[in-house]
Amino acid sequence: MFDQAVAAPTIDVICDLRQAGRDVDNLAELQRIWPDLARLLVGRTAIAGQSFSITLTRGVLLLWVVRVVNAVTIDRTTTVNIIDVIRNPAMLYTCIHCGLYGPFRCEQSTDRETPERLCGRCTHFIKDELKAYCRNHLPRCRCQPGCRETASFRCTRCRRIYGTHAHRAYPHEALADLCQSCHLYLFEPCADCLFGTPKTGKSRCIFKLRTDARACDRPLCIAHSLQWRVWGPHYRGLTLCQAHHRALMQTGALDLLHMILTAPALELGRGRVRRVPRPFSLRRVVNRHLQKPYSFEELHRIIVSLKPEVAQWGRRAGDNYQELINRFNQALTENGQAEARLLPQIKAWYERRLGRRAAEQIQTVKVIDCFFRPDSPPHYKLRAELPAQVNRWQFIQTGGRIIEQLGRDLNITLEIVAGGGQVGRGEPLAGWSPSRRPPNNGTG
Amino acid sequence: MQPKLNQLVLNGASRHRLRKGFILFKDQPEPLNPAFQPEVAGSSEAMAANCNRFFADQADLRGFRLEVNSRYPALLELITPLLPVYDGATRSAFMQQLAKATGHLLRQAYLSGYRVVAAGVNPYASESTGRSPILCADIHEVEVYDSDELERIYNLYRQFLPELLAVSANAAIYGDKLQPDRSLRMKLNPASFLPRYIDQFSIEHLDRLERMLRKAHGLADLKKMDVNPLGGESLALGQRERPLLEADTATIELRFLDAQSCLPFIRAQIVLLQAIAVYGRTLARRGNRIFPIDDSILDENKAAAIRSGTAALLKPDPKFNRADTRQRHGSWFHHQGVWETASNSLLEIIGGPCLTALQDLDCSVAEIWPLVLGAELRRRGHRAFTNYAEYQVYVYYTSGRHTYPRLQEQIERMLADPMLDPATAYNQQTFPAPAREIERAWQNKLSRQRGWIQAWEKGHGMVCTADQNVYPFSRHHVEGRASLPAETAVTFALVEHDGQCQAQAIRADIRVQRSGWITHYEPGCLYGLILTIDNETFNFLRADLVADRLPSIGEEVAFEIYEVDGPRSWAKQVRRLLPIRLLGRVRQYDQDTGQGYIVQPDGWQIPVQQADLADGDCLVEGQWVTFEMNHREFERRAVRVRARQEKQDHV
Repeated sequence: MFDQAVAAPTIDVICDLRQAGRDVDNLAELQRIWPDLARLLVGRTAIAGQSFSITLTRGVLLLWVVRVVNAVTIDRTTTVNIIDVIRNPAMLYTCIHCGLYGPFRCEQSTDRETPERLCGRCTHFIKDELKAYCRNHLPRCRCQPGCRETASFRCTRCRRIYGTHAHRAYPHEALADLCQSCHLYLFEPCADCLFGTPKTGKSRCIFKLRTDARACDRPLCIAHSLQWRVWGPHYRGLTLCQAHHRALMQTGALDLLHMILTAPALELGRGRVRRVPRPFSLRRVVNRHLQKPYSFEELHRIIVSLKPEVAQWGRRAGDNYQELINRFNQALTENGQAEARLLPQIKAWYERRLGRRAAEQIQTVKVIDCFFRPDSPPHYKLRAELPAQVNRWQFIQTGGRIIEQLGRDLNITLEIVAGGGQVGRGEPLAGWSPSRRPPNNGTG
Repeated sequence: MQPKLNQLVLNGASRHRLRKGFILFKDQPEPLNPAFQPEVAGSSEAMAANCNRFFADQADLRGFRLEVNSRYPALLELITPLLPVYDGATRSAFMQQLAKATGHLLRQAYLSGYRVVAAGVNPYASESTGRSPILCADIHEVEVYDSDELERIYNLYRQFLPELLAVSANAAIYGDKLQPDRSLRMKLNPASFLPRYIDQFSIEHLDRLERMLRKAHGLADLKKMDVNPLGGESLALGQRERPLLEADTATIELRFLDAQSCLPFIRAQIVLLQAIAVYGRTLARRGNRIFPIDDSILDENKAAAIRSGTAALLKPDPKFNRADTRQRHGSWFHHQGVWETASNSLLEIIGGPCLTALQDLDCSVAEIWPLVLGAELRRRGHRAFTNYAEYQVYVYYTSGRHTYPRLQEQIERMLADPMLDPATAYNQQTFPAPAREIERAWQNKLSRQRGWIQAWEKGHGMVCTADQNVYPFSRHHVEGRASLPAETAVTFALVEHDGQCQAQAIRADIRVQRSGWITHYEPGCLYGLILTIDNETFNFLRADLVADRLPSIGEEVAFEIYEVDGPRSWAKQVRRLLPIRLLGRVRQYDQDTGQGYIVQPDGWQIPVQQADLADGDCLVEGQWVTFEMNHREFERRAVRVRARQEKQDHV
């Protein structure tokens, strides 16, 4: 059924032309050189597994003997079967540098029609990427503007390309590569862990005065990073080290505002970042750490005075500043409207409870704070100043019975200030403090 | 007269290694799965040692070895050396050796009280043990010569994986019960991963490839893919000028084929796998690449092939049709964009891209009969066997649902007999008329047609055969970049595409080439005379001279024998013989006598005389020279010897 071995003297050979320097890719051409090639074989001994080497002027032609049937010495009666011709592949594309097969195209090549072709050896690759670069367009390391080293990898975190000198291995993950700064950012030990093995300092202190070139940037672990709750108690705030958290009390309002406006953006997910605090919240945050609290108008003046410096803080800080100014302006307008709206209501309420004479003692009210909570109207804190000779007790009464009733009815908190400068139940005028938050406890 | 060039194949087969799997089990009326029985380990080790001694003693089985799986002692692996399979004779020798080795293994198992089965899983193993079955594969390894062809061949095997898997499924019964899948082994195999497309393979950048595959697909080890590109001594690919025909070299490993019992079926698998490799090699040498099939579609098709075998409906890749516009073989279902059964798709592969390779492999119909007969009958609507999983199902239903011992008897007969193929025999006996028709059709397909170029211009041409049939062809179906002028004798493969026959793989016909010297010729004459070294004379006509200038008397020429008519023989295609210029070094030279020897780097010595020096200078020992060989005299010697200055620096 199947073929039987032939008995005639036969040798089966593989013709290896890879180093022969001849470009033979068809039968006719190989047949053409065969008569002279075959005569060189006469007299040689054929052993299976060995080769005949014919050294040509441009290279070596090898004939590998695969099988020998009844032929030890090749003579004129021997039949030769060439069972394969191993040759170099056809050169569809040639490397512009070395002339070898060039399947790659330089990424930076400007000529799209005839791009520069490159072979595997003349091509520069970024690790784990298939983008090829030629010698003329080697990508540069981005570690600093002047670095001349050729980039060799892409940082897994910041996605920029860097040279080998900036490479840092990702711990326990062979497939990730980090640049020096990202490695420091992710894995620098906490500076405040003084005992035992320091933990990884995932957070960094953002404390920075206006005169400083850089922030403190001290790496801090979770245990040693303290939060400056700028956006309320339930939200992550700005990270500070212990020393700078204490120093907030001695820091001026301008520096506090500067820190808030230039702090790293807090990610909320899906590309959103947390906006600057509302004006009233900001005032509370600033006043919390100051001996002498600022009024709303004073704080507005301070913010306006920062305008010449903002241009140096960067684009994001500038945007934050502009948003803050807009919000302040809006808040000032709304305050005036609220005062105009609430004064008649307060007077009417007191008129119903205490009579017309008492109600006429309240000439003006002033918004001193405002609290916001979701799905509710804003809760204003107002101050009403009485003439010096008027006893404010009748507007408050024992235990604040009347004034609290007023607050519940009109959804406000009212402070009655006597002409001498005393407020409420005789306490000194002070900024708002958490212990005195109104019942609705707005988050600001 | 020089040695005769009988056969010339531009893109041939490489060597092949088979790691054939067997499962050993205890010969009992209701055999249990013995993989976990402690006594099996000792028996199989002793059996392997005995077989290896036998293989070493037999001259024709040298290099064969039997190995016992370290984890499952009942799993044996018969490993052949890398053997040539480029023609029918070598493949017959391969199968005879395999049958001899397998027969000895069967005898040894029988003497030890064991039996041997070759299938994806042991069909008779008891399911009551609650353990997962032993998985048994035939791992084929195909030798590769360089990284370029490795990339193409690997991608081709990946592309044809569902069809090859479907036709090789042989694990439909387990625990004496019919399983829902045709290849239970591939379904349960924990080390089977889809081969990913490799667009650029280089052994020097292997670490980069491994990182990218790990990052993109979470694939930790390339060797666990169903097609392992790093089989054998894969690092050998990185060595320049490494010798061929080494005992171990780089291979591509096919890990997805179930173990087979039928040796003719294994032979057909070898032929098909080698034909795919030859096709990939041809693409690599032409500089062509392979368009990738989408991973998800390939995975779906693979799952369908595991479940349904050759009856699986394969899903086309829509991108394949649009992007691969230059693909020659547009009748494959991916090109057509239609769903197709695995058996029909396999026929398209064999009759399409692999056809020329099969012709180059000197493949007869008998060799691929186990693959094509069942698929062709199935295509014509007959219920025929297309793989041995279906044959297992047949035995299951016809033996009262107790496959042991009937199936086992058949398996052992098949393993010992290199000619026995019961599935194909059943197909042939059940459908004799269609089988004869199919055989004739495939004989026509597998034989190369002879003809001559009738016309060829602007990239298209016509081939005419002796019976005056004319077939069209296009430029990219001509092998190599040589131009074939009109009237050139050619051979070609006849391929039917969209109902029209086309000539493909066109190549110049091999003619007997002779060489000699012109003894008589005058420019004014219409003919001349050539004398060969055997003192034969040939006449030639002036019109048969192929030369840029007219030859002179005494000039060496090559020619083809045109016609032998009584005492007068005619030569045609007479052209000047362009001698190959060789390089060598002067080993010895006596300036007084003017005689010496030139030696080539491999030690071959050629005498030289002063009269043959082209420049007339004396030679110096150790000097590098270029020369031509003179075959005219009784003793060969170097002529037209010239010194080569630049090479001398390296001495």
